[in-house]
Amino acid sequence: MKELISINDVSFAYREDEPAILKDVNLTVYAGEWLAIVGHNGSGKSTLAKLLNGLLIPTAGRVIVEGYDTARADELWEIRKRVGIVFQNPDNQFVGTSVRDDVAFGLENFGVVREEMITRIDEAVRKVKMEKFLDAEPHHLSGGQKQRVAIAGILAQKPSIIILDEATSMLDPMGRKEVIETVKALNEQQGITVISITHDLEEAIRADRVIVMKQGKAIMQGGPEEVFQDGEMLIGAGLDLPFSVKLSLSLQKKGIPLPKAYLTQEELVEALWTLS
Amino acid sequence: MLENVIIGQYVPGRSILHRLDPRSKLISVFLFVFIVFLANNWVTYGLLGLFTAVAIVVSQVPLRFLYKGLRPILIIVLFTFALHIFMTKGGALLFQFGWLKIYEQGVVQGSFISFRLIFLVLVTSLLTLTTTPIDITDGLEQLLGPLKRIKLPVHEFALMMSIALRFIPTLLKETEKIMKAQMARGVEFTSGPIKERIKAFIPLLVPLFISSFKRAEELALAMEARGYRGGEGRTKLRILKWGMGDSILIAVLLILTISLFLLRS
Repeated sequence: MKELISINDVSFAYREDEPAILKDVNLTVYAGEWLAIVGHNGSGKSTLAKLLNGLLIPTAGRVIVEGYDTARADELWEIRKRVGIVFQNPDNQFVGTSVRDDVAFGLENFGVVREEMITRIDEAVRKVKMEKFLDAEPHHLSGGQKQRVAIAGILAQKPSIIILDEATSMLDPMGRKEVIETVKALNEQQGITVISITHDLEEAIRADRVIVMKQGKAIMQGGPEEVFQDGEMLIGAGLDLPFSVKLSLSLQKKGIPLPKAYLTQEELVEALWTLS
Repeated sequence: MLENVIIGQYVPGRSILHRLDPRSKLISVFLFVFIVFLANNWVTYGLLGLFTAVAIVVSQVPLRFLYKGLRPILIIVLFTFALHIFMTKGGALLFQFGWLKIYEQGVVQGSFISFRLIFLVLVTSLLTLTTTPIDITDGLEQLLGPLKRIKLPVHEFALMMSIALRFIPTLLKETEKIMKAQMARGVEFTSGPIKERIKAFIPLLVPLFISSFKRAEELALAMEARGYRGGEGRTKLRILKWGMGDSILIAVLLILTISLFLLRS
């Protein structure tokens, strides 16, 4: 698989005299995958997101995005074109006075000519199903809709990677579903790489690969099937296990011979009623 | 309560005045503010009045919106009118009551000054009534564009304006939320002595300020993540189109100016 981002021995501290937030992190992001980075508050996961598009520069080590180094000021704009971030608060990342203006914001920054802008905006809002709201003002949109507009703003830039930095944590269940489904479709149909940074393990279940962060270190990585077997480790990282995993692990403790922890309710039910 | 606050005074419409380029409207209003002071006789005031009346009719803005703009200055108009009537001496004596004398010149001057104020307010309100705030911002940015050469941060000011406009509803909503939270704990915003009511606003303003700073910080980060790096090399989605109507408006204004120069006494 093609490597999109490689993070080599990266450490980061906001100030020299402060303890490091990230310590010697090594990881690779592959093209087309859905990568979940999970961790408790203060585990360094959001800092990691900001390092990926050069909003922060590592104090040691290097972050390479498609061959561009985030530490080089002349390559920064190439990186920001390729890596888009959807932040947590839907209101505080909406720059334009209408949906159309907001989607255009990134394109304007990169000096895209107007005619091209218009076609790209139309295309992007269609992909997130917001084409009926082009002239809507932000205060008339729901949180989920605003996050979808943020995604459209990134899509218009034709990125290779979308980072969701706790992008669903301020949304209601409906909004959360809207956003996750939109991103899932983009990941599957357009092959856009998704990095979802979250403390919600339910969201991480859908990922191709999960990285668990604790106190600035990546303590485990692997497929969700593999990572979720180690309930103790996840709880130790300050995370709340999904219900079916929690139940599987408790049943195992009670002596019920379940072969593994199941990620979804269906799988668990299936395993339980066929148990001999 | 706060959702009724209208931002700006824009009255949506499809009139010729609505569709004009904000730049031509801005230039015209700017020019008008100056030439109002050229008028000094009935003919010139008549011309200005005609221009204002035609503009109002063309704009199709309901008169009550114009009255709303005019209401706050009516007191000032009446006051200056009264002042002129009693103070200006000259012409024939029209009326006398004890030491109170009203001369012809007083009435004339009083009405001139009142008309001047009324025309000014009507024409400037027409601008804000027929142009969205964001269009006015765009127009100003373009008109002041040449000032970038003398290092005036025109683009930054325009961006600040548009972000401020975008966040007004958000902050109003937040204010309402905080107010409700405080009211739920027994704070009185609408009754009680003035002093107490003013005091009650302090616990409202502090959280509002703190959250605004937080918003500003997050917005700056989001803008940077989307490649914002100042006005240099930036393209624009919103464009302003200068049409035939705009040229005609400017021409009308020029003719009006010349006529005023010729007809004033």
